[in-house]
Amino acid sequence: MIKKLFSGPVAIIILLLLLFFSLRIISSAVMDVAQFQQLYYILLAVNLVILCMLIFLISRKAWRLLHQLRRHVAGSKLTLRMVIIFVSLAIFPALVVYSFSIHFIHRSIDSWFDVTVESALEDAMTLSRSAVDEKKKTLLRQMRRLSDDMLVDAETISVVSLNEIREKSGVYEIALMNSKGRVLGSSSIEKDGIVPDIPSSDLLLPLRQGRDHVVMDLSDDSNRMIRVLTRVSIKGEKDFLVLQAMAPISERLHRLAATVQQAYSEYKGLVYLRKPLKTTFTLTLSLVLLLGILSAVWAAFSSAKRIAAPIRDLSEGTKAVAEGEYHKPIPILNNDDFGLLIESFNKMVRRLSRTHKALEESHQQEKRQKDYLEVVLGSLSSGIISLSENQEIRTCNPEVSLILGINVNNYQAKPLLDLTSEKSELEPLVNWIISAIENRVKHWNEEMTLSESGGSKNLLCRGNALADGGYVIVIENVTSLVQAQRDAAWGEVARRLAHEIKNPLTPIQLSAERLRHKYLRTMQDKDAETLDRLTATIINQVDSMKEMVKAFSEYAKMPELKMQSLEIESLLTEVVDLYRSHDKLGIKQDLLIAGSLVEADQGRLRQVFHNLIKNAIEAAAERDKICLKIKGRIREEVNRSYCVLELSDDGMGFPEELLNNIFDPYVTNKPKGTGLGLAIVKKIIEEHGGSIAAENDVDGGAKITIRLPVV
Amino acid sequence: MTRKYKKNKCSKNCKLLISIAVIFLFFLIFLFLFNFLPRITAQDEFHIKSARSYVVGDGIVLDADMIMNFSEEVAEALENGIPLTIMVEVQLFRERFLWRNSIIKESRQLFELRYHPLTNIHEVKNMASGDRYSFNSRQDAMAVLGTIRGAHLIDKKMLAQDKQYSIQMRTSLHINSLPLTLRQIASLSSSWYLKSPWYLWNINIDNTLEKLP
Repeated sequence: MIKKLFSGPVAIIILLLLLFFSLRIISSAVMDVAQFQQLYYILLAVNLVILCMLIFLISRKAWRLLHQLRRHVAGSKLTLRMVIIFVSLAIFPALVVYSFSIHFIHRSIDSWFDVTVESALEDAMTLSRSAVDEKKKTLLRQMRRLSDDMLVDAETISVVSLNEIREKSGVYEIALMNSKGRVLGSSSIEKDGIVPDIPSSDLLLPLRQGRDHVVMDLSDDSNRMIRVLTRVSIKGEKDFLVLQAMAPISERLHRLAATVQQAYSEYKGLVYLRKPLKTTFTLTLSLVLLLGILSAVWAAFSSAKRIAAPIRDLSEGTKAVAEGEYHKPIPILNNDDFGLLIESFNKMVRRLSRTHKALEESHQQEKRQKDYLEVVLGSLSSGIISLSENQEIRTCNPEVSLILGINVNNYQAKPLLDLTSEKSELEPLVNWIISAIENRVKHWNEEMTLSESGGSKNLLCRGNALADGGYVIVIENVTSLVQAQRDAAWGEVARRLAHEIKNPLTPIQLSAERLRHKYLRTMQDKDAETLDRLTATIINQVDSMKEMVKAFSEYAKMPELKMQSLEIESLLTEVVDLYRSHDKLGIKQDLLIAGSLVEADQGRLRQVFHNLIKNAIEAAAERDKICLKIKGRIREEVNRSYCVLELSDDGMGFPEELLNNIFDPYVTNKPKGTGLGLAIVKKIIEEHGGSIAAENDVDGGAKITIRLPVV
Repeated sequence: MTRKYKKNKCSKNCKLLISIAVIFLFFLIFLFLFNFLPRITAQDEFHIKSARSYVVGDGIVLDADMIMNFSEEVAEALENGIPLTIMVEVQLFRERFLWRNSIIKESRQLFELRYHPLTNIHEVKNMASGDRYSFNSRQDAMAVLGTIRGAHLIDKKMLAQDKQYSIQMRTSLHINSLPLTLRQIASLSSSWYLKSPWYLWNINIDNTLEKLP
């Protein structure tokens, strides 16, 4: 409420009314001093209150403006400039009017007084005073003379003598009093013996001091008498007596003297008050000027603030738009030029808002599409890489990292060739892709094998040129497919072998045994020996063939896996412990896989370890002893943990020509080997989701690396 | 967009308080200028030489001797026909322990002093009664004006026997009776600030004689 009164149009109206009121009183004062006197204090109090309020308000506004200027608030400099202009426009005319008003007032007051009139009044006063003094002195002299003549001795004083004095002096009344003012005797022109006019004690005071006293009262209610008080010393009396004579003044003389005295007093009073009056008017006018100027300053602040408000609003609006806030329209306060400007600004902001909204929606849609695409790409079993024109990786899906065994995401916006810096095994693939791009082949389809430490991978790589010059490359891991096809082929071979070969073997063996049994006794020693040797060979070879067919049969008809979580270290240790007492085998175990669980068929996995250890022992057939090193580690690869087991011996190693197909069935360098041991091992490991690789160690000897996923 | 002035309630109250304080400060400054400044620079022109009260019959009467000297400016104004008004204030009050004194009677007497240039007399007028007294000189007028003898103050029965009463008295030049044009100057001038300090004494109504301070 107070704040509302202190600001806004209400305050301005109140202030103007008060100022008008003050000025009205000032103008009234010139004409009616009495009215001015009545309202003087009210006027003073009101003006002082307004003055205080204005000083406070202006100080507050000036402080705010200064603060805004320091903070470089928009519109503050304009406000300052406008305040200076407004104040200048208000102050200079006001000062001119003020100076002229002061001059006018001083001249007006001075014009009340005239040297001639003043001189005439002074002369009139001197004349009147001389006349009155002369009359008073004459009366006093007369009374002194008469009293000296007639009032000598106390015994001779009587009413007769008082009458005589009165008659001789021609006064109205004579009274004789003692020094205390008690009447001793009197004589009056009135015959009725009226009680004499007794002087008050203050009139007797000069007599007590030894001075005679003449009093002339010129007031309207006086009795128009000159009172002469004469001190009388009488022989025989210690104290003095007082002779009072009351001499009448003519009405005309009384009136004239009173008029002169009144006019003179009033004129002297006015002359004396001229200076204070000027000072009063100057002070009052200065107060009004001060109020006017302060009001103008305050109005200047308010007006400048109002004018600068749209600019500040525009600035704030621009700032808001710059910060991305489009939903704050600036209110149009007036329909002036600023109003039009604000309207245009609001239109622009609305348009910007719509555009921004559309852009946002488009962006959201694009993001949704991208997310959708990422989900689709992420769910694909094929790895996808998109390349820019300059062979930099733009995007990729997670599967490609699994296929390539390297986090391709880390190489986004980097050249494709950088993949080889982390994994050199990728060189053939990367080089081939680069050469295809450089040769500007638009579509290609290529199958290639990637040799890695964990085994070889069969990859199907397809590339398509994009419209923007980039490429999209699809890589599929067809290792399992190829392996499955191969396994199926070998299974078919095994099944056919079992079926086609196993069936005739028994009749052959039986026939050979029968030949031997029937004809061995009937033949001579030499023939019998030959027959025995030949049939024995047939029988042994048939047994051998039966063993081989059995092995093929087992390879072809592997039972279903019974998967369970098992601790691989204990299983491996359990199998290895069976061979520790073997005289041809020395085992060095270095396992850091304690507690690691794998999902596996216990029996089949045991078979894998048996096969591998047996292979090592068989490789040592020609040597006294072979050393088998078993190393176990947990390795973190792309998004998964693997248990990696390395079994290496110090034997002759794999023959180089067999190394690439060592896991294929019927590939062996052992004279009695079926070539199915490692094939079965590989099949079991792959059925467990793992991989197996064979290589020759740098120091010599064979090395088998098994990778099994850890649960 | 609504222009926001983010101010909390506390800051609003603080500003209101500051506004009131500033206005109050200005009032104090003006009060000081109008009242205290003349007092500080004023000289001891008016003072009460002696005063006493005593019982006469059923009433308590007052005698006082006051010294009243006019400054040059005031005397000049009088000689130029400006009437001056002298105010004599007397307060009789009952003293109360730890409480504001209770004023039993308060009297203000105004005397107008005027100079008549033609007859060269100084006239003293009792504003209450209208009685007028003429003197040949200002000194005589002031001597009479400064002497109070046997002025009736209050009836004895108005006062309780067991209470303690005091009287205080002062005299001053009454500024508000001056012409307005002179009043403004007189309010700010120490030459026109003629006021005696309060003269205080206790009375004992059992004694017929005064109890001098």
